[in-house]
This record gives sequence, structure tokens and C-alpha cells, in this order.
Amino acid sequence: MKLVIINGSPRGKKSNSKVIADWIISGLVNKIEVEEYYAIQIKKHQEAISSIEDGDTILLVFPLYIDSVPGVTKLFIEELDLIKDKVKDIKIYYIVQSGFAGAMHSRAVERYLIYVAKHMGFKYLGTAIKPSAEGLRLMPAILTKNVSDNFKKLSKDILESRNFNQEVLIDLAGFEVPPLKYRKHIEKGKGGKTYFNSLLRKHKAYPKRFDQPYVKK
Amino acid sequence: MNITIINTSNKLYSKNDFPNHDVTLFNTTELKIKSCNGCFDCWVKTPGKCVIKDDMEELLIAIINSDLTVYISDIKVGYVSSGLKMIHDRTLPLILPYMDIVKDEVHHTKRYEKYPKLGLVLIENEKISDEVFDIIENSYVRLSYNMRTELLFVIKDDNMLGGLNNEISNY
Ligand SMILES: Cc1cc2nc3c(=O)[nH]c(=O)nc-3n(C[C@H](O)[C@H](O)[C@H](O)COP(=O)(O)O)c2cc1C
Repeated sequence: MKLVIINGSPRGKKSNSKVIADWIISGLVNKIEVEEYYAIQIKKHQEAISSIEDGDTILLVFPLYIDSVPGVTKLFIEELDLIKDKVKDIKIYYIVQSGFAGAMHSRAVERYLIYVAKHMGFKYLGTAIKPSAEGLRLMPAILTKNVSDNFKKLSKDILESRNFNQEVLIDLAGFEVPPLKYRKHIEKGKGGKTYFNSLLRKHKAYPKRFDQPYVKK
Repeated sequence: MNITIINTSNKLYSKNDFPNHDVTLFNTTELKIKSCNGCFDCWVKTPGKCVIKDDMEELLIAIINSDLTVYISDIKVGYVSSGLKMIHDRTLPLILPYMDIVKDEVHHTKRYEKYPKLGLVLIENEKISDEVFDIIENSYVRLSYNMRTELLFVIKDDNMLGGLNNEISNY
């Protein structure tokens, strides 16, 4: 029995999904064999899928893209369908992380993920949702400690093949819908402005930030 | 009224399939559209433009200049196809990186004044259960908030797109 991690991020190895996968792996403390694959490496999908054997556990970790799975992750799921009914006793976990705050954003795709598990005949053991995740790959370890500790706790569940711990999931998810104070902050134009403006300036694109290149005049 | 139809299914359509309407039609299986790579350059380097050079730019122009954009998709593993999902991912240049509150949630600020209404046609190549229909519809309601618009309809394909022609006429 091994753990097959599918990283669904279009950013591949330079992704927040990879940062989270590494936390999970470190929490496994070498107690289980791990294989990692990347959905963006489309040519390797077949290899990833044929590596899945009876009794294995799958962890699919991906960024929320336009309220759902990224296109390449969806492609992987379509190809996974090839082994439906061909493998036995497969367990599956999911991790969805998103840019926006509010776990609500990921609830729609969570329903789909549960459907996929059922459709494939896999044992569904939970979905961890981590909103406000775009900064994870950029932040120093000290600022992400709470999050990384939570993911390492989930590693223990993977080792035991049990459901993701509910309390940990709640802590990772944070609020479902932003509280009033947070909404007011966003309404004042404060959401993501510092970060994106600094990048726009760095690329000398700040004056063009509101461009509407595709509108026919 | 400008209508853009983006057909991602394996079946090819022609303008003759929409006899009473003037539509801009794409059969995307005949186009080259790559996956988004998550670089955010469309927000921070070349505002509003995707840096990947392929046929997507033509679609973005047709989408943003339409009043109604209809997507047509096969069903694959209980959801729209990866081909269609890749197209949605590539629409990020149409919105701004900044945040706004929409329906009490955080979403992105508009880049353009006006966004097309959305319609979705599901080709019933595999049986669409109520559960699957509901998952997809719910997902597109979410997508419509994100793309600062409204979902007008989700329909299962009935023969010769009778349903879609009706929806367009009603609109
Ligand atoms: C094309 C695209 C679409 C996105 N759509 C959403 C979205 O609908 N909701 C959200 O909260 N974040 C969205 N994001 C943000 C990503 O989920 C977020 O940045 C994530 O941390 C990226 O993870 P990665 O580095 O593993 O790819 C989107 C990002 C991109 C590039």
C-alpha cells in the first residue's frame, strides 16, 4: 500500500499545492511509500494512473480555478476513469486551496469531488479546504506554522486510513463567508491591492492596470 | 444582440444550426487552446492580455463583446469536459486582480463595464442524473458570480439544439 499524490496545479512544482503536499509528506515521517505526479505533465498521466494499485491511497491536491478544478486536473480525472472497476480498495482524500478567503468558494467543487469518489468506487475519506492560500509559497515558515501543523495532523489520518479529522478541517477552513468587518475592509478597496500593485509596478505595468484590450470601440 | 456560442463538444456545429439568429460560433476542437499556467501575467505584466499565444484571444474578444455567451459541452465523469474547463480558466484576463464584495463574498473587481450573460448546453453523451445536473448548475452559478454576470440557463441538449434555439429566442 502506498500514497499517490496528484498535484493538480497548473504551476506544477512551483505551486502552493506543492508546499502543502510537502507538509503532508513531512507529516508522514517515511511511514508510507509516496509517489508524486503533476497534472500539468499531461504526458505522465498514464504513468500516474497505472501506478495506482489495489489498496493504495490517493491524495489529490489542487488550487480552486474559476470555482472548480483546474482544466488539467479535470483532464486527469477523465483519464482516471479508465481504471474504474479495475482496482480494488482505493481510498481517496482531497485538498482544495483557494485564493479568496471564505471556504464557501470551495463547497461547490467539494460536492463534485465526493461524486468522483463515488463514481470511481473509491472510499472517500475527506476534503480539506484551505482558503487565502495564494501567499503560502511566498511566506516564511514562521507565518505558516499554524497551517503546516494542521496539514501534518492530517498526515496522521492518511497513515491510519481514517477520515480527515473534523476539527482540523474546521480550523483550516476558517470562516465560510467573510464576516462584516472583513467585507468592510474589502469594500474600502483594500483586498489584494498592495500585493498586486507592487507586482504591477515591478513590471512597469501599473499605468496600464485597468486596460480593456479586447473591447471593440 | 450579440451571441457567442462556444462549442467544446466533439460534434461540430455550423451557423445553419441556428437559422433564426446571428451568432458568432466556435468549434473549439478545431482550435488550439492551451492550459492556463497560473502565471498571473494577465494581471501584473500585460494587464488584460494573456501571454499564451494561441486561439484563446479570439474567444476572449468574442466573449467580452457579446451579450450572451453559450457554452456547449460533453459530459465527462459527471461534469463539463476538461476542454471547456481550460477555456474558463483562460478567462481570468477579463477581470481585475482587485477584490470586491459580491453577494456577501469576496470576488474580483470588473475590468470591463459589461459582461455577457451565460448559458450552458450539456450534451447527454452519458446519462445526466439529477445529482450531476445539480452539481454542474451549482458550479456555474458560482462561476457567474466570479465572472460578474448571471447564469441564464443550463439545459440538456435535445435534438438539433431545439432547446438552445428556444432559449436564445426567449432571450
Ligand atoms: C486561472 C485562475 C483562476 C482562479 N480562480 C480562483 C477562484 O475561482 N477562486 C479562488 O478563490 N481562487 C482562484 N484562483 C487563485 C488560486 O486558487 C490560488 O492562487 C492558489 O493558491 C494557487 O495555487 P497553486 O500555486 O497550487 O496553483 C485562481 C487562479 C488562477 C490562476
